[in-house]
Amino acid sequence: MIEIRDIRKRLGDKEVLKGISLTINEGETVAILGRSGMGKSVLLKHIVGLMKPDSGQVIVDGVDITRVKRKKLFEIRRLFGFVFQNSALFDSFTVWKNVALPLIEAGYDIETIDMRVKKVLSMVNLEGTEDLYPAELSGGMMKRVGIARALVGDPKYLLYDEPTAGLDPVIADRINDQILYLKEYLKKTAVVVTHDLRSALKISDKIALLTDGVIVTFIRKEEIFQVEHPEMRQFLKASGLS
Amino acid sequence: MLDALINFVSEVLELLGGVSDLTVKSIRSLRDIKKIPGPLLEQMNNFGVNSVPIVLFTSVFTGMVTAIQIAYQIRDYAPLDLLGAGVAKMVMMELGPVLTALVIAGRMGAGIAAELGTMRVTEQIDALECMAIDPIRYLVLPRILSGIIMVPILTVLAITVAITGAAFVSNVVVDLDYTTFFQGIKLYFVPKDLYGGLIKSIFFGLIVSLMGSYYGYYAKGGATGVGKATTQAVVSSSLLILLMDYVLGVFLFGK
Repeated sequence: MIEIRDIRKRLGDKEVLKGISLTINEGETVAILGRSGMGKSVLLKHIVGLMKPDSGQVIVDGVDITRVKRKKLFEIRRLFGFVFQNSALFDSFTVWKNVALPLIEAGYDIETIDMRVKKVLSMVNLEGTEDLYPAELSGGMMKRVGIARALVGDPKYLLYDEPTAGLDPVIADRINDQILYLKEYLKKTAVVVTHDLRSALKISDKIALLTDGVIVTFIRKEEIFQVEHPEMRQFLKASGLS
Repeated sequence: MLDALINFVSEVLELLGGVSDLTVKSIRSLRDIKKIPGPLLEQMNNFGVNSVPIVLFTSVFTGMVTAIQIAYQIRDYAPLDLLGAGVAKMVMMELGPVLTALVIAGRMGAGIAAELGTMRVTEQIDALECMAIDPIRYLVLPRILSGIIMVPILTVLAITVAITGAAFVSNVVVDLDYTTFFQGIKLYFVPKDLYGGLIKSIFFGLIVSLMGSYYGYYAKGGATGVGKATTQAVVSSSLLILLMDYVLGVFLFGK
């Protein structure tokens, strides 16, 4: 379980997170919805300890990761797979090495690594791309390699940062299907940061709306049409759902 | 005026603090040294072996022009038999280490800053963190070690090639035979000249790789930020090389 307790974060002159609290239960997929620049990615980076809050706690399986030493933080991070907005693939590595790197560094033998890499690449329908470099991949393929890399260490939690941003609607929908498949097949706990309400409705169990550094509503997705908050009404209208 | 001075002092202190912090973290990551050989060999190849042509080109012309200028200067005061000794001392103590370091600062320092800077702004360094891989150990330490190892090796190469070039020019232009040239070197050779130069090159290698790593690792602001980091890495490395050259010159050869 991931518990975020009253975290605040200031970047420069702007207070980006103004006391966020959120609980993500095991097996749930929670979408954090919000317009660009509202602090969604900053919140996600706090969950994995890439950023430290000015105050508040981030508790992962009972451990407050804002107070642990680096060694313990690295142990906790092995519980996570993080899919970056721009994939963040290592451009000098092939697809195989990009996906295999966490296992190589963890000291696994080459047969195990190869077997695991091929398995996760097949999960994201990228068999046969092992020898390609990121520059040779399309945007959608890069996202899926990012997902494969996040999956290779068999993490307990998956964090997606804008998984469909910058993709055309058809490819974006395929990525959504992929995330949905992983949710149903692997039963992982996931947090998805997105500004795409249709995507959030398709892949998540719960939706948190983040506006001006505050979570203004946190509901089961079925309840979304009852939300009266003007920001949510705008999202529904802009997505053609109201 | 006062504001500018305060800004300058705070920037210098920030730089010193940042570089010291990166150095301490790099030393700490030596605990995982068994995982370093692979990335280290890769960096030694990238920044050392691939720098050989430019070092050869620089050093052969440095040696040749040094021979011509020393011959021109001593012609009326001392026998030309001393030419080899003069060239060798100049190249071993000063020109070999400093020029090699400045060339490597342009190539290796800029390369490290650009590579790490790009990795920073494209979140590749964050990705390493998320995979529980220490980016200092994986990215920075191999680059620093490769600088400390490869710059002295390249300096030895530069010294050898510069002296060879000088011998050739002495023979062809100044009309001094090879035997006299090399006997001059042998007669006046002092080991301290050579190892003093090599000690300098170890420090220069550290400066180049550390400054490149520092500016690249902490780059921010997209492509503009990477460009700025690269320029800062080369400029600061070059200035620090000249500063350190003086300090080490006083320490090694001052008495």
